[in-house]
Amino acid sequence: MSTDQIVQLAVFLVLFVLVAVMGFMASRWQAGNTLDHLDEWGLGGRKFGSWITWFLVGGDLYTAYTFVAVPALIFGAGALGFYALPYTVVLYPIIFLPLQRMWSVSRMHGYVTPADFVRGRYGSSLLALLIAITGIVATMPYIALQLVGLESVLRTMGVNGSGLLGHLPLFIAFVILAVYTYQSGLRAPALIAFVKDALIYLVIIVAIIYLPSKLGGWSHIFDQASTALAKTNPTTNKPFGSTLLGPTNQLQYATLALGSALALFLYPHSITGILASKSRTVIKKNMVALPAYSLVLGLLALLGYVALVSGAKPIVNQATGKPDSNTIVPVLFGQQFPAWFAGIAFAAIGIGALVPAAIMSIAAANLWTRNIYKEYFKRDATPKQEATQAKLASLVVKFGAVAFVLFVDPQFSIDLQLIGGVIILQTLPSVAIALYTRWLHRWGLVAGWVVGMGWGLYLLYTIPNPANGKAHFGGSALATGNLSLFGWHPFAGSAVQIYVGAVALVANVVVAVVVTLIARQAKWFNGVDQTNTADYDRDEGDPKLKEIAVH
Amino acid sequence: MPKEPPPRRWNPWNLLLLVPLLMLITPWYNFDGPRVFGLPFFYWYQFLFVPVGVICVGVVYAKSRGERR
Repeated sequence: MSTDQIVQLAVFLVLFVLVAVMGFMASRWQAGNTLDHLDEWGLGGRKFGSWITWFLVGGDLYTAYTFVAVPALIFGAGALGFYALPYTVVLYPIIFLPLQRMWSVSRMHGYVTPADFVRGRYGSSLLALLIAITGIVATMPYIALQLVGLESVLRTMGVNGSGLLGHLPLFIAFVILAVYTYQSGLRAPALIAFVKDALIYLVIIVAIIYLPSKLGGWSHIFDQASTALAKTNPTTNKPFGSTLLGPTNQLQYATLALGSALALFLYPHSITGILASKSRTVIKKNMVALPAYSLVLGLLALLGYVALVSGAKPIVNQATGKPDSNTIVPVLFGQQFPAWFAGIAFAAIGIGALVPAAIMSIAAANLWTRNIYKEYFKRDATPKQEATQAKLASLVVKFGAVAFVLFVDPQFSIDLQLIGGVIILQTLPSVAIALYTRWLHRWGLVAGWVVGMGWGLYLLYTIPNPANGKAHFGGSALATGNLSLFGWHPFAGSAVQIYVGAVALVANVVVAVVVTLIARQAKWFNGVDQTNTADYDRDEGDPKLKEIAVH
Repeated sequence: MPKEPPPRRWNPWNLLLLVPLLMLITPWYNFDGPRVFGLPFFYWYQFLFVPVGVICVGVVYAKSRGERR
């Protein structure tokens, strides 16, 4: 370890300890009467105002992994990695109206998870179980990826041991996180998010002003990056990438951005952040204010080009023996910034991993408790038993994620995250369309889910990645020429690429509609709807709202 | 028992929410020039959509405050 790395590590540790102390104190912050209820532990008392929600949801959506992976994608492939910007811009207009309905109906009936809503809307515990399992499976690798983000920072600071011992610092960091999340619930990440975002904004603003001027200005950086990306990749005999989109990946760019935007608020952890807010007005204000983070993400993405031009090289991960492109932004900061500021930057990314990891584990724990434990194991669970169960589940989820990173190649987490986006999208008809209409039949939704899920996974399986020699799960870009409907190739010969999630979702909706038509003809029973039309419009102060944290 | 208020009415201003989706039409902006502050058109055009999105959602929010509840 060099002197610089020791200074970096010292600054990092000071900020990390500060955050840990805040995490433990958070249980007393705006405390309700009890923490023994999911409304309190899992949703912070459902009373967060506009500011807290902005920091919480911002910390929840714009994660450490995003902050290291998006520039890494640009570093490796160029313009395609910039899809993160359109993704987070079209997101808010799309979800503006549905989210308010989701908040109202959940607040009215005390729903804690999206699967709770599906259960209430369709009276089907099977459909709710499918939604809950999809949510948990999609969230787990996402948590593991936060660890990958945290570890990329640790490795840059020279904490890069090999074997199991090399993962020890990560393990310690996660034990601390697990304990204060267990104790304080959603209040811990909500409080820490203030520190995380303040640091992130500081670092990005400095980086985006200081680095380009140091390296010759944007025009020079783009010219150099263009040349570098146009070189032929010896493994594929094609260019590495380009600073503009090519003829085949424009549809992929647009559908990936749109599909990711549709998927984001189907993830249970995003819904958790929204349900914790106190009114519809809080949500509306946040939909206007959250794009500030998109701006930061866009600027940060461009650092991928800065890294390319600066000659930064990804660090070889001693635990796997392969260069880890996710270390590219930390490496850039370490080389270009004075040690103390690099330490702050690393802390920003590291703490940026803790906030979403905490919220995701809480969301997964809520799903387990409400839609599996209570539904199938202990129907008469009291609120206190629910809260205890969720706290334990949050520990299991976190250590499951650590085990993932410890025993499985991080590449596997990245593959699973890719799959996660495609499978969570398959819950859209049951969760989002159901907010507006109950026309789709519950058996139509189940059939659509099965087909969308099966076909989506199959298509992902068929996609190779020549750049790293993988035969399967090589990416989410499907050449439309390979698209086959029972042997019929509607776009035969076309090299134009499309996002797999979009294809699977279309199949899902078509099947759901067809089965619904059959079910309606055959007059199959469509479950009992617990909600009524007015529930979707209710706001704070409505006398009919369910009381918070009562049985 | 108090009477249920009528359901919210559809507000035509909500159509503004479709405007930011124009950002998904990549052939409109997949060019290098003209550059601004050294950034290719492809990048600064998309950055411009951040305020466009904020304004559209902001107007819809402001117009929703006039609703009866």
